[in-house]
Amino acid sequence: MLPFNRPALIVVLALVAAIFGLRQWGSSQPEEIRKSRILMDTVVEITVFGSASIPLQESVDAAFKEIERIEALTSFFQEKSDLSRLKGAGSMEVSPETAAIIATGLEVAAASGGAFDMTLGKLKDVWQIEGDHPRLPQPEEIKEALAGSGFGALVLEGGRVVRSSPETSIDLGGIAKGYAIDRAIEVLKKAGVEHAAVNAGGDIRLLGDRRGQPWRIAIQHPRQQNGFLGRLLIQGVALVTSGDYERFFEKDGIRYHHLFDPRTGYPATASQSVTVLADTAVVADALATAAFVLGPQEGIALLKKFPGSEGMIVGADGKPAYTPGFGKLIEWQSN
Amino acid sequence: MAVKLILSRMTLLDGVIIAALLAGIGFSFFLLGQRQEGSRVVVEREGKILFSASLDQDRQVSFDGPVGKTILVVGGGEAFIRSSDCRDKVCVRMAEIGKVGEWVACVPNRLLVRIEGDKAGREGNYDILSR
Repeated sequence: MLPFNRPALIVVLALVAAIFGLRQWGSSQPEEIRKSRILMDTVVEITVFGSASIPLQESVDAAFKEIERIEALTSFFQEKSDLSRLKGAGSMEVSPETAAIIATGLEVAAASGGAFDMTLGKLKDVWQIEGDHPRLPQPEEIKEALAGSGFGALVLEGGRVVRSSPETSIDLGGIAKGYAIDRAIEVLKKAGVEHAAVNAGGDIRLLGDRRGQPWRIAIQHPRQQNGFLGRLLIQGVALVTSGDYERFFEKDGIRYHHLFDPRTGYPATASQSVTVLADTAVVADALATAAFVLGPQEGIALLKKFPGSEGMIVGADGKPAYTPGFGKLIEWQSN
Repeated sequence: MAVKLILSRMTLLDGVIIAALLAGIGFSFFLLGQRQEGSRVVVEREGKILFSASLDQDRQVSFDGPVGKTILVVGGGEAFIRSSDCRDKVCVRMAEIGKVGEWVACVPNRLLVRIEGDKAGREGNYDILSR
């Protein structure tokens, strides 16, 4: 004997109630704020989750302000930046932030045998790949642009930056963005935020998890615009992907991109893309550029020198090489 | 046995109510499916992607360009340009876009906003794209 007169009706009504209940439960999840701004020549997106007791909106605004502040210190184009002031000085005391960026950069430069190079300002000027009019310079121009660059051309003595030659032109494009998003995460942490993601054009730093689950990060396929190489389920780390598909122009069927090999002055040819995981975005950013230049074999060897770092390098032939730890984390995608 | 018992107790009105509820649920899912025809909005300038986001998450994004700011509003499965510092405001007058292949552009500010299907984020299986 069933306890209801209308059991089927009750089952259907219960089903409807469950669906609406689930929707209501979904809407009562912790508050999420997601804001985007164009900073450091890219779209910076900050996502935070938290309870109403945390001033999420103000925290996100403060994090953007911090990124703006770092940009103002490290931009090649802002008059009062440390870099602009350095153009006219052989040596100069810089802000602690700029000094910290350069110190990390020099560490990666040394470990990579100069594959990461912060003295390619002149070279980037002649190529203009990130400008409005990219061009293929003459070999003499490239040779000239490499004068005053290279490992040893830039030295840090405490908080003082020393250029070895008046021709040394510093460019922090391959590392400052990583530092800026690390700083943004610190600002969020200080405000009490425990779950956040700061994504600056694909350079990502994660704080905590996402609604109790790891963040799901897809990795761009270097040759398929809408395709992925795979997906990582991670939390509380930094992840940077760099590739020859980001900024480039083509001439006579050859792709000229923005990641230069300091040894030749031409875009590096050993890799299609690199993804690096590290504790901080500043380290991941510099390592990604260096590993791209070095290519799969030497690049993986470089990553192994930095404890806590993992990564994958897609070689010029399209084949991925990766560290053992990265291999355990990635879910490959069949495109 | 239980099913037989349930069916034997059902009246015509029970059947009508159940059918109506099931139809309502089905229609809701149909509407949701319709809205997700396009799944991502992509903003480009001179072929370079400046911004890409899910159409399901409400947000407002501001883009600086040669003539000033252009403000894009995303949400409810659609995107539209709310305001732009350009002279003619053609982009502001264009309708909301939400279906794959639709686009709206602010030419003076060199911005192209277009809608993509979810070939990229199949079934929304990622939170962030590292590129």
